[in-house]
Amino acid sequence: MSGISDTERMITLKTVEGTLFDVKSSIAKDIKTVQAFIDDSDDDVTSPIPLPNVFTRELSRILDYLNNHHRFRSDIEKADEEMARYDAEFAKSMSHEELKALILAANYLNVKDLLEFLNQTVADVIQNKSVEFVRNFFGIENDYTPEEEEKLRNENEWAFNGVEQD
Amino acid sequence: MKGTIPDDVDADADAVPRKGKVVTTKPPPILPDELIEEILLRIPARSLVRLRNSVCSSWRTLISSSQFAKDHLRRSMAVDPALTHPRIACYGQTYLYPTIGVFSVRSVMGNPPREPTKVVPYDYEGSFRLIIGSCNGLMCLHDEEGQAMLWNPCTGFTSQPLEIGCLLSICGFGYDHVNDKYKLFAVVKKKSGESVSRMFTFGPNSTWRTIQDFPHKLGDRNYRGSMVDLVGLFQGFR
Repeated sequence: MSGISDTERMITLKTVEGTLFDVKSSIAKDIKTVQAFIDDSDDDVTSPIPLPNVFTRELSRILDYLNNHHRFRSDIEKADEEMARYDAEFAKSMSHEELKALILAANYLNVKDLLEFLNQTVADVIQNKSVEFVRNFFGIENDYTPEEEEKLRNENEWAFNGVEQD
Repeated sequence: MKGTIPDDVDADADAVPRKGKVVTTKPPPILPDELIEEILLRIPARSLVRLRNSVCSSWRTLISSSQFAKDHLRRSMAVDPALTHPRIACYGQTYLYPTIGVFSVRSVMGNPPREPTKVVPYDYEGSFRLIIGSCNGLMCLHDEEGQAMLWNPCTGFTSQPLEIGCLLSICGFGYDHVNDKYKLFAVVKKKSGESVSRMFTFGPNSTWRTIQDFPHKLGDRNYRGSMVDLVGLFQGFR
């Protein structure tokens, strides 16, 4: 493995759809599931690494995120500001379904920083939303009877002040 | 879109999809419980209160668990160290204007003040209440009808009152790490007029037990005490 990026070793990842992605080994280090696979193979990985739970759309987003973060980190002066701007855009560019799909992929691939960021993004999205919105978001069935719901609602009615429009 | 090269991949990016074929359709993404828990740990306490009781019964169980409360506290303090800054709790010593409020020390100290003084008031009707003590962000209050209750200034929740009777002296409020319970030690006056030392335990099934041979003199009202952290022992001093 060389320190010069032009000759840096490449790893090939294969998504569910069969799409192949060539990834620098320095980027692959941040994808813990992939790195574990490489470590288990004694660094002797020649064929594409199959990722049976990861779709092309998600892997391409994750690599985009990691590549950009690597780039920001190499330029310390502007890093924080640019990274914050990039992260905000990154979060905004996804629908809720895409956001959830990306969380599942980041969780499976064990990309810690990204997963942390995405979890916080969801927390920010849902924290002031209505209960119906939250159920919808997570695909949760309401298992309370109307009577139980009314009773629980009366118990802490004040907490429903300041709920945002969905 | 599936199986083709996505538009959002830069041509000069390090990762270049080389080929693709359609094999699978995506299931709708459902987040497993452990990921939902990770997300809920990042939601501020006040919003959690609303979601806890209303979304579904499993959320109620999860958010109500003491482990979740501990994890949430630990995380919140790590993210916002200001949460651990000392706060002042005060109460008005008058029956006409009974008030209890909590505010940050930083808001009144320092020149210029580093944050606006925001008092979190305790909203209640009725009798005069005084502050017995605080622990882990919970305040222990006592009213003139002989009831003690816990108040969380952050969420606004007040616990079910615990009948303890008329306080004579020596109160200590603290957290019992071994049993994961909040406890109150007090010398109280029984209906018969006799004074007795008791340890009260807060919880869905509040209990108390009498502490025998606690060294105190009837009518001596100058004791104050507090629970000593970690060992849960009680110390009294003049």
